[in-house]
Amino acid sequence: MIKARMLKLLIIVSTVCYSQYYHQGEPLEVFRNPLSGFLSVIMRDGLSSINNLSPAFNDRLNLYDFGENPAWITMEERNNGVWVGFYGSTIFGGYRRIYDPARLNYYNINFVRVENLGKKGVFKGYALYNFEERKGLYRSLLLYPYDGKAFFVTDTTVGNFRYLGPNIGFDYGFELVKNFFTGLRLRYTLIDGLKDIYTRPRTIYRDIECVIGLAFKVMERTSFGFSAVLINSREKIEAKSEDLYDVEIYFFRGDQYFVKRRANLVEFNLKDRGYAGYTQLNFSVGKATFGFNIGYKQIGKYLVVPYGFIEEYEFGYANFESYMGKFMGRLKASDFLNIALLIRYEHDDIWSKHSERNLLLWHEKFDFMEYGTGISFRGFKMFPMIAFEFMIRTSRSDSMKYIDNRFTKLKSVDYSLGGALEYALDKNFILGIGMRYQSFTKDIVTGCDNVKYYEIAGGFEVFQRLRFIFRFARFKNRSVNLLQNEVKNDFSCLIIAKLN
Amino acid sequence: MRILFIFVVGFTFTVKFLTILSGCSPEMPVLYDGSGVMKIVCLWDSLGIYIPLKDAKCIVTSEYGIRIYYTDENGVLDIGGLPESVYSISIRGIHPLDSRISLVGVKKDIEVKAGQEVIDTIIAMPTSGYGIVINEIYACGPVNNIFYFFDQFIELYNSTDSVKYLDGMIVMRVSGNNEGLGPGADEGSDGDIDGVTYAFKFPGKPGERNYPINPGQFIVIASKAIDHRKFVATSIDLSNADWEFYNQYSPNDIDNPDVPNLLNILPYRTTEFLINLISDIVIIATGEDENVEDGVDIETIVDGVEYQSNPHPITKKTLDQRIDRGYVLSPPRYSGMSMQRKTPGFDTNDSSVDFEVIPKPTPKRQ
Repeated sequence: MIKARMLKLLIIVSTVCYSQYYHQGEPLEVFRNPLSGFLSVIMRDGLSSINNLSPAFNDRLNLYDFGENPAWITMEERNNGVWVGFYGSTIFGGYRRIYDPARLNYYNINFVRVENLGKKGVFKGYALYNFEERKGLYRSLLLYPYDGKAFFVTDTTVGNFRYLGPNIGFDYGFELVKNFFTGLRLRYTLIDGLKDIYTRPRTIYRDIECVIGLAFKVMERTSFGFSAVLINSREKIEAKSEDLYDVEIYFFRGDQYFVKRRANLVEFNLKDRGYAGYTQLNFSVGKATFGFNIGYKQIGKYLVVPYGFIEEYEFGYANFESYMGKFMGRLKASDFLNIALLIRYEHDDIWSKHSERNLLLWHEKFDFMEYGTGISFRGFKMFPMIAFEFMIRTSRSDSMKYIDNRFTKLKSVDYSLGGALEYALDKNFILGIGMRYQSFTKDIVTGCDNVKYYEIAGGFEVFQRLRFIFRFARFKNRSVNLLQNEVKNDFSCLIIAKLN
Repeated sequence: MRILFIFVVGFTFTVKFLTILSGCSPEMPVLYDGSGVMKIVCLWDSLGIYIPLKDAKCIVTSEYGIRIYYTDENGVLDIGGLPESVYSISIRGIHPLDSRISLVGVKKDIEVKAGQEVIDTIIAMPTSGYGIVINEIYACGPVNNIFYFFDQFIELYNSTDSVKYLDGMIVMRVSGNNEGLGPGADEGSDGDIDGVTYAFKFPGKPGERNYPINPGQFIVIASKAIDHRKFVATSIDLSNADWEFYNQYSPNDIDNPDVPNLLNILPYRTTEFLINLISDIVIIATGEDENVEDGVDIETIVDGVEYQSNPHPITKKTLDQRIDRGYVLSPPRYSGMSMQRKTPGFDTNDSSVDFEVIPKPTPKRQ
């Protein structure tokens, strides 16, 4: 069992890399949603819950892990446990966009506790302390410059940003009446950032996310759930020179047009207000288990610049709308063989406007369709698990940057091939290795052609308590255009210890 | 069968729920930005005949800063895909018969709306001047952290091929009249500009010939003609300035006896001559209108420059357009930078075109 977990862990690390494809340029994604990232690795035996894209290894096909509904925690988290861990990564290379840092170092220490309260439900709390360093960052002042909005804020220097701060939260769920569950998830993030040279902007980022979930156990092997999410965050940036220089800050509408502000102190706020709703269905028939999850999310982002004492000028507004649906089916064909299928769809519609004039600046649409299948063989003596996974994804983007007079349509067909192998010396020492290869006909994030992704991960587990994992991943652009043969490297490691 | 029923009910519920949620989403604007078009016909007046001004440099200014375009062979400036904003355009061409003569024109407050085309005409006129221009203004102060900005100076330049004389000329700071149309505006349209706060005069009277400025010569007038490097290492040495502003009514102003003075002609001003670090107006007049308190006759003004920290329309230009049609975008406070004409004496009466910001001051064009 432990061996299987170890192997899963290794493969999961690979899939983390895969999931990072979605978040290029957003290394701080973990600040926003730590439970959906690598942190899940350290929780209980649900290693497969690290993300929901890995059909070969996702054993946790339920409302809590696949459906992300906190109400179902009562059914899934039955054992107490305390974990501590450390994660570190460094990303560097020329394959990046203009406002991406030349090098990014990220570390955290984390702590997770699961407490089963019996009839009072289950509580899972976590705390992280994050440290991130963005080196050689060209001008950009925003924490997430590339989330799709048509607004950028820059100064005039290339410098290093340091962000640090805690991230705390919990999931709590209990059975309200028989077969009717309710739960709550709260996350709170606080980040303090500072650039080391003129204009020395300081970032205070605060994010609160609240999820309320309901779940019904309709039949013995059928459950239905519903969750509602409220999102509220605020990023306050204050550029104030420590000497007597004025600071010059450029507020971009689109890629080209900016309004310059110069003063002793320039400050602005980026406020997010959003909500989301998801419904989930899980059921089993014979040896097969199926899970559905569909949802809708809307977030409004306001870029506001204070003036006077209490007034604020709304520089721009960006609206993010997203529909998603995913299905996973798993068949336990025999004691040795597991086969799974994943289908996932997401549609994102993002537009930004000039608030004062009510004019559309950008309108972008993204469509992702993903199909994946995985197969795993378990229970062999020397090699307790051997697994393979194959995924195909089609991506379409339709970008209409009206203010910049740039209109592009991109389409990409990507495929991903992964495999993993576990080798057990004895029950107290397990080794594992995983590899993944991906090919993108078009990287719709950077616009580059023919991008390849290579990854190798490995690690070991000792005494069923301590795990160590390393990973090396590389993006490589082999096209003959602007970014010829540029690469991006990613080294990371993870250490986890279970305390009880 | 029951599973199917649950699935159908669940799916219906979900679709209904999502429809309600998506209905709460804000509406996307119908009009889009970046769809404005501006067609400006640039002509110049040649003895009553309007001739297209081809290949003229066009400086287009809006809240989005300054952009440079050129007219086509028909003298038309055709810009599409413009974001909605209020624009100002300065054009500058070369006289086809005499390349030494500049043809300049300006049009302000052109409002370009999304999806609309604006058609307008600018008539360029030949420029002429007195010959003495304000060539450099250093106002922002050196790099320091003790709020030191006393090393300000103004540099004059004789751009003609004949000797000019400074006798009786007045150098003024114009920063008053804030209750009216603003500093440097012709309040009441009586042919003078208002808002003079400081006025310092060269010795002598207009028409006298005691203080020459030779062709191509730079004259530096220092706020304090001392070596400022003794106080701030990043500052400059102005002890060899040509002239010094000295307020004889001030108990604190320091006089360098080796440097001749411009004296204050407004006795109620008892502070030394200093200008704002990032936003102000400096003018120089012949001195024929010595009663500057009720305004300075525009006819007597030799040159004037307005500098501002933010572009139009964030900051409103106020200096009368007969003196200067533009303004200089000033460098930051305490940056040690200076504002200087792109080439000595280059004067189209539009400071937006004529001036540039340079990394450090160059008194006497060092």
